[in-house]
Amino acid sequence: MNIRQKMLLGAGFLTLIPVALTAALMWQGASSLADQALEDRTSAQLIALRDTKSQQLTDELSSNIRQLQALAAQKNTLDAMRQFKTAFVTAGKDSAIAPAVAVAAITAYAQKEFATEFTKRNTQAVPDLAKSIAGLDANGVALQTEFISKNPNPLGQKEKLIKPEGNYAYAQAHAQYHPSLERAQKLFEFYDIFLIDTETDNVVYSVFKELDFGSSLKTGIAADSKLAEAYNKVKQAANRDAVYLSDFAPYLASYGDQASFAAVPLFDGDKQVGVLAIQFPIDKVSEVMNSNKAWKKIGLGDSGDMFIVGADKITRTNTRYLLENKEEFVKTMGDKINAANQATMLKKNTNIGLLTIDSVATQEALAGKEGFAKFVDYRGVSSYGAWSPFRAQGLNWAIVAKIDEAEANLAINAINQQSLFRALLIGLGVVVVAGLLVTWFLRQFLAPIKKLSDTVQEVASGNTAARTLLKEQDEIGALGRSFDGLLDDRIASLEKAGKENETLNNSVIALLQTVFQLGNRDLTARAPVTEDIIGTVSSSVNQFTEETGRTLAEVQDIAEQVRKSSEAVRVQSVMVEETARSEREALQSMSVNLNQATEQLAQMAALSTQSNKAAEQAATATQAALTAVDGTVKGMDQLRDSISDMEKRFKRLGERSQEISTAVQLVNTISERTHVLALNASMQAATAGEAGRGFAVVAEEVQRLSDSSRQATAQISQLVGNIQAETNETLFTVNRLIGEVVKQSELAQRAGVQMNQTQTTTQQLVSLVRQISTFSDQQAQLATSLQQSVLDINQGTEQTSSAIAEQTSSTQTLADFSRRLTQAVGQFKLTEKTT
Amino acid sequence: MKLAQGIVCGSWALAISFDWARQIVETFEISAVPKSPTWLVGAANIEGNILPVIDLAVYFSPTTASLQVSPHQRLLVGGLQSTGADDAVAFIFNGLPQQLTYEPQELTYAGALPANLREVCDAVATDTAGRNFLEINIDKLMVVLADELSLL
Repeated sequence: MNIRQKMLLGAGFLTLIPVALTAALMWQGASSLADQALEDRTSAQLIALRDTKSQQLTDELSSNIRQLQALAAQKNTLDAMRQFKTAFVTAGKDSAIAPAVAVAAITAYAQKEFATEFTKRNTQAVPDLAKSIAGLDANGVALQTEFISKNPNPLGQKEKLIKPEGNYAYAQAHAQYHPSLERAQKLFEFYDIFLIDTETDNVVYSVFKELDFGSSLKTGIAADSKLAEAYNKVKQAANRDAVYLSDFAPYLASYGDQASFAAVPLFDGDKQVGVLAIQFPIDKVSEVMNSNKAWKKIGLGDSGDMFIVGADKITRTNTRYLLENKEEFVKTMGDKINAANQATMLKKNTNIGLLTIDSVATQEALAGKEGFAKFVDYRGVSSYGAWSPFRAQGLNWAIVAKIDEAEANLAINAINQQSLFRALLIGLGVVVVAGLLVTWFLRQFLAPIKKLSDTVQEVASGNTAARTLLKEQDEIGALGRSFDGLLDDRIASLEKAGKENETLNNSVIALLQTVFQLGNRDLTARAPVTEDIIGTVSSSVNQFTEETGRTLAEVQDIAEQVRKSSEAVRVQSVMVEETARSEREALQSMSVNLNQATEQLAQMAALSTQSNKAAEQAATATQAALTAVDGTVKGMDQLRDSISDMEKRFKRLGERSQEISTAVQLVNTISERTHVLALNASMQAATAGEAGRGFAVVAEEVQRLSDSSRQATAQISQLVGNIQAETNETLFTVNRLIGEVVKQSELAQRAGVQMNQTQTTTQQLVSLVRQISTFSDQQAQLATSLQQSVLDINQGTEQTSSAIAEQTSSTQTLADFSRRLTQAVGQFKLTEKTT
Repeated sequence: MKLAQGIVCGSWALAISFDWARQIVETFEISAVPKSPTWLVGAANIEGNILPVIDLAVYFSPTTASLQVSPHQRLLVGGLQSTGADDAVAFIFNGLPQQLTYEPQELTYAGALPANLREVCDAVATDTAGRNFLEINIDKLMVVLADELSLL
């Protein structure tokens, strides 16, 4: 590399380093600023979304509460409450359907239509509603029959029945008030509206006519539900402005769907007469949060989401990921959601009430703090999120807005790449300009130096006439002129010394050629002896060469003899060692076999001893089991006798019930005839005019008495029918029980017989095992003794083998050394006289 | 307050005034009358008086099938005078009759009733349980029945 190249390179580095440093610092600074700006923008965006949705949801809930309060303040609602309350208590009496038939109809509805819909919406088994149906009073039974089970409209459209057949008080009230309440339900988009009597706790009216209609909030299907909770909160309200909004929870009457309830009191003057409640659809909360699935439009990009969790950290809204692709979402969550909830999510297309989100965001928000941070979300994906508590209408919820970190950082990565590219472009431009300037400068500066350099090269190549002939008046010009004078002096001296050196060189070359031959082990070479100083050295070298040649010839003879003897000994040693190794391997194999045999015999002896003990225990256990089986057989026989006796008693009870039915039928017939007789008497009394007035009063009393008798007989018939049904069920169970007892008894007897056989076999086994144990001990001792003998032999063989191997090794070493000595001496070329 | 006998004929709940009604008969036999209209079920011997038996359910709703006589049916006998049975007639009905004590109310849905019923019905009687019975103008009914029979 010449000076020009070095200076160019140096200038390049001097330019490139500051430019690169400046560009890197500028890029780093810009990147950091952009990072911060983007995080600030993400934070502002998520916080704004979070606060907007929080306000929107608060407004939605407040709006619904205001609508509820407005509905409660209407005179029509209060009139409806009064009418339904009054008509409800006579509904059972007004009904033309016998109570037993009505209960059967409701039970059939619950087991068919309700169960079918429940199964469609859920993965778990349909709950038993027998207790809920039993909790209905006579009025609830009558109304559920008229408005639900006998309602000709299909499930989900039961509200279309405005007036059922008959002209009783509840039907009239329903025809009058149901259309306006249904219109309010549709207009306000409530799921359902309820009127609840605070004196009886009965749901006296609902728009949708699900199984909560007509039921008691103390004993019915909605007891312990969020509806009951909301009702209890405002049941004894201090004033008409009280309001309560419950959290969301599964609601059995709505087929286990999530539901929330709001309730307000209804006052008639200063007295509370009832409660007006609404069922709040959870879909509305979810729609507010996901803006009808327009996540991208509101700034949540492809991965952003907003959701709400309750105080229990369980979601109250659907997550975006489930709504977009439920199968993928469930697969991503994996073990974080249990199998039952996964199946329910896939079936109901919702994660509400099924997904627990326990992250930094939900913990902080439920603790009452709001904030923004980068954290790992519930799917395990790094995300940015903003959170805050949501405490409208007494609810303690948390609201979270989040977006995946990868998507949030897309913009910053683009900016970083762009700024890096620009920095590199500027740096490259600066380097190119600097390179051009430095090249021009060096061309001007380095021209005389190049002339000087060219002159030196010409002189070196043999052109002793070459000179710089520089005209410049600077330091380089003076250097050129001095160099030209120096060349003139030095070339004259060199020509003289060259001739003297040529002579001496010839002598040295001859000596060096001789020494080179000797170095190549040719001891026959001799140097020419000249008259200069080199001639003395040549004479001494010749004498030394002759003496060395003689000595080496003797060494060569001796070495050859030693090599031959060593080879013979080595061959013998190898044969001996091979023989010893074969013996040792045979002994080791025998020792291993004996060792395994001894161990197996010892294990066999131990197993025999254990088997002996186990066999003795088995014999004892078999005896005890035999005794237990005998006891079981006797117990089963006694149990069978007791159950047979019970069955006879139940049959007698059924027969007695039948007799009661006959008697009741007779009483009913008498009552009806008495009723007709009383009516005839009344008509006769009416014909008699004023004279028959006293008789008419008596006839009316008789008529009332016969009505009471008929009602009593109807109740008795229902009770007797229930007793007969229960008795038949019990008889069926008892018969099945007897069959089971007989089967168990036979099994126990069979077990006893098999136990006896087992006992005999076990005793024979004990005897055989004892003999095996004794033999095994003797064999184990014998094998141990034999193994010790083989070990002793093996040890002696190993010692012998070791000694032979050592001797073989030594012989091999000796033969190798002899061979190498012969080879070393044989390389020298000796004169005929020495050999 | 008015007194009436509440009976159920087919799908109609009817109130027959005590001024006309005289007796409810539970045990009876009906003999068919040849070539009579469908609403004239037949004739029955009630305590020596031969009375026509009329099914008002068929008369008011001609498409209704005539009821088969069964143990749950009774006769409401009316118009029996002490002097004889010239104007007497019996209505056959189902179930138990009921004594009504009521203030007549205006019939607001007369347009929805069949023509034969609308012609003889003026008011509504309501029992203590709130159930409505159509009050029958028995004099007008007797006239139209007589007219119908005379046209045969």
